[in-house]
Amino acid sequence: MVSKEVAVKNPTGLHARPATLLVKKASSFKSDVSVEYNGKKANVKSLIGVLSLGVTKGATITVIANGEDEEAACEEVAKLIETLEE
Amino acid sequence: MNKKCELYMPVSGEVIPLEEANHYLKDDVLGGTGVCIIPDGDIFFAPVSGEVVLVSENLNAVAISTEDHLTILIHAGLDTAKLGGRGFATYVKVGDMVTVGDKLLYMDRDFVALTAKITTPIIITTPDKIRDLSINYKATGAFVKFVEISL
Repeated sequence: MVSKEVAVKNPTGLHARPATLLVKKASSFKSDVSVEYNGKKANVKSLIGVLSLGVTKGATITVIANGEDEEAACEEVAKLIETLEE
Repeated sequence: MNKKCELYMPVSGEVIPLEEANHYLKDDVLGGTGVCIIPDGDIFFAPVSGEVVLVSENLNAVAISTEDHLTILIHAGLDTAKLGGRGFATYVKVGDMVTVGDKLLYMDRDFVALTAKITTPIIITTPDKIRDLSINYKATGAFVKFVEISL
């Protein structure tokens, strides 16, 4: 298992558009990928899961990956979150 | 035995392919399974019966999970999250059981159209459950059957 903390700088947080990008990215990996925020955990391969977290701008969330490509999965999902602009 | 799930127009308006919404969004984000409606009314009603599993903080999206474990997401407008709830109101909360035709959310189209788009994607976020999907692009009235899903 690999985890990484990342800050959400996106002004509108993780709403539908960035959430869809995250789901696409996470789904490209074999590993289970989840995100933890405010004591809640969501499966990043589920759009509703990510949206339900209601992550806002300025939040620090933890990306957790578990599986054969967990290093790459965690790294790339975290990087995507960090580079979200809108 | 073929199981079917039917979706009823949540609002009156024009039905267009989901891909059309991508022309507005800069990236090809909406690669999901579903359809868009350009609404003619401000109130959106449940297109299907089930449990409300999502009500977004920005009040612009509601998702319903049906008894067949399909999840239908109604996302009022495009680029509407930035409005932070202004121009929107919701009538349900997570955990509520709804029936087709129950009020879900309100979008002030005039207000939203000033800075965003009112085109509303209806997305099935559990595409693996779908064997076949057929969309009636001629549907225009609220509560008219417009999508038939074979499971």
